[in-house]
Amino acid sequence: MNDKRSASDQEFVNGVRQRDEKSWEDLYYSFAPRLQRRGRRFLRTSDRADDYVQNVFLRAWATIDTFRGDSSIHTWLYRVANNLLIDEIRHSDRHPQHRTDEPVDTSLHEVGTADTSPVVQILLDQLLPLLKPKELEVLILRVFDELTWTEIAEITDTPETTCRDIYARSLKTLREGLSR
Amino acid sequence: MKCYEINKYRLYDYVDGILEAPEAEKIARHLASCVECRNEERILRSIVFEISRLPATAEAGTDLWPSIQARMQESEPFVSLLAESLARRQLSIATTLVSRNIFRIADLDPGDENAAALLSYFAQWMHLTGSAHIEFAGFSNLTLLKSTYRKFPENRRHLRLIDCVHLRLAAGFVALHTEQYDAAIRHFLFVPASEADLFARDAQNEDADLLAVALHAAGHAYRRKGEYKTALSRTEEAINIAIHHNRPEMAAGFLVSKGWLLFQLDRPSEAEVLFDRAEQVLEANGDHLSVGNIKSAVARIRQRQGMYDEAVDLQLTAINRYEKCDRRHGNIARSLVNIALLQRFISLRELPNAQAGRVKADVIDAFRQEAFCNLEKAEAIYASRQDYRGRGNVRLVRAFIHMDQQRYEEALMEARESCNLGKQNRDYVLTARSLILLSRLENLKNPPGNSHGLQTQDLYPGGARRLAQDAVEAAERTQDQRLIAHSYIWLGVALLETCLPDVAEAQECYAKASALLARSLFQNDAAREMRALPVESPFQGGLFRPRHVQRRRAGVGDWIGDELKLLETKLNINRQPDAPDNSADIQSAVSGGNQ
Repeated sequence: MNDKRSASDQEFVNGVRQRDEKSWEDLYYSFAPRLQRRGRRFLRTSDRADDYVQNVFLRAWATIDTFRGDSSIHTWLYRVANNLLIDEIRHSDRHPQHRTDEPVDTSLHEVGTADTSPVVQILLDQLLPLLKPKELEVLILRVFDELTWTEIAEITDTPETTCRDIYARSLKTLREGLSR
Repeated sequence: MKCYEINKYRLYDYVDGILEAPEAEKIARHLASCVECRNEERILRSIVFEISRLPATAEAGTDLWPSIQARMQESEPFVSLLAESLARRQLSIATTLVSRNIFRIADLDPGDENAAALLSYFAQWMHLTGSAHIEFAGFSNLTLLKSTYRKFPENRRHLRLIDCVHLRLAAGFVALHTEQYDAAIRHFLFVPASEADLFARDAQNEDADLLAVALHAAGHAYRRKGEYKTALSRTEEAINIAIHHNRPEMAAGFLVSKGWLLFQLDRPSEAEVLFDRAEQVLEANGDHLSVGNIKSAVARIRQRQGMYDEAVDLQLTAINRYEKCDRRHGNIARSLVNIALLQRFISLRELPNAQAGRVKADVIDAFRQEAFCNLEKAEAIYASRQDYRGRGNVRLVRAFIHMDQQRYEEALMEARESCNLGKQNRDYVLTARSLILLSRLENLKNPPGNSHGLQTQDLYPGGARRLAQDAVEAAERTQDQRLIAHSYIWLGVALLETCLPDVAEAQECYAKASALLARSLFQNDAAREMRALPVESPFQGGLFRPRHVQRRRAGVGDWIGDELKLLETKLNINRQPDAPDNSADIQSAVSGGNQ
């Protein structure tokens, strides 16, 4: 995230800050694919994923004046995206169709599809919403986005060692949840 | 290793793959022998695996950009963004905003909350960018501005003061762009007149912006009227407000206008200092239009110093900047006219060299043809705009070149057209310049003792003298000291170039011109000292530049000094008929004299 900015990078960032349409279009096409993958993983349906991506960009557009330029634009956009995703996951009761009250077989030997695996259902529908926002944020950045600890520390504005503690805590919570 | 040694963090780090190799090996050995820990590890890996993999149904993402783009436009606070981008001189952003919201202006409902503000900022944008058209049903921006303005009721008692201010600003810009300068000034000065009431509310930056914009625009209108001192005072007020309210880019934009005015008031050194200061801010801001204006203004200074080659380069740089805003920007035409004029000056400068065989004779013609080409290009741009002064200047420069070619009829026709445009639009600057040229043409074509009258005598009884008197009258309605001096010089010449010379009156003209040009001539002398410097590298660039014509680093000085000297010589001859008559040489030297 600590990119060395060339003149054209700086021009791009200026364009984004000044709401230049072409710069936002570039930002969309560089960042939307990873957001769409996130949406499909954690929000489960295409409609919700699309809504998520749209909301990230609309929120960013509305609040770009708060971007001070002391981090990269992608770091800033990750923060916007994380906040929205965490909010969606933690309040998934707003989307009851994705919840299930049926008992699930937590046998880890049984491998379902990525959508139907009982582990996935418990994880996504029941356990992830229980995590604290910071735990959820670090977990997603590390496990799903596969960012380095340095990048995660910058996005979350938290020291690397603390991020790793938070990560371990989140895994422990999930592990314990699955064992219950 | 025991189970308790694999504490919570170490196993998570092991699964995460970030442990050092010796540590990871120890844990791996333990896992190989401990079912419980191995189960723990498997669960953790499953969690990570399940979270990280995409659902099987995940298909390629939909292209959401079109809908996001549409919603961004719906949600954007267009008016405030436009206001801010204009205040910060972010003109490309302002243009993007206007172009994608042009429908809002076309469909404006005067009852809308921000309707008056929207119209006013649209007008400001149009004025600042000089943009003639934006893609909307073929209407010009000015037509759109006028038709939208007419939607507002004439009775505005029910309107908020701020909306009245916005509407007066919009009306002011309409008047400015239709060359009704007095009306424009009345509208613009409504804003400072309302200042006390405006600022009775919390002093908002937008109000200060409006006040500064109105004062600057009033200054612009005064400048177009030739009232440079008044324009300067209004512009300085605008600069102070912009600086006070922390609008450095706006202040820098106004500094460029102040620089132009100082140049018009014959204070080029002060103007250059301001241009330097403004350029630093505006260049960093990517304001190509203002930077282009600076280059063009410095080119005019160099032109006045007689440094024609450098002036051409600067005008080309200016055109390059203007083209980044709009490939048919009105200022491109202005620079083309200036380049044509410079090409004429260069051709005159090279004339003695051609006559002496030092450069090929056809080089002079080539410069002139190139100048005509540039004038044609400029005319095509002006044709799409309501810019009579631009069209007038094209004709004036064309007339000068025809005069150089001794094609007096063509010169006369062009100068008359230019004069008519000036008179029709009460543009005393254009009128005075045209009349001076007509007077000179009269002198050239109808010297004393020539019984064949010139056609202009029908229109101007008294020939050159009457034309020059009219030129003085028009020039004196402006605050352009050089123009007034110029007109007095040629009145003086006309008074002497008759069968019955009026030496006393010509002497008075000389005295007036000398007094008006005192500052200019001092600078001219300094420039003259540089004349003898050696020539430099060959011409470069896209315009016609024969290789064997060398560019000159030093200028040939300010032509108006030569004109004054011509009058002085003619006066001496008339006072002392035995004095050597070298006026022909000087006449040849002043043929470069112009506007």
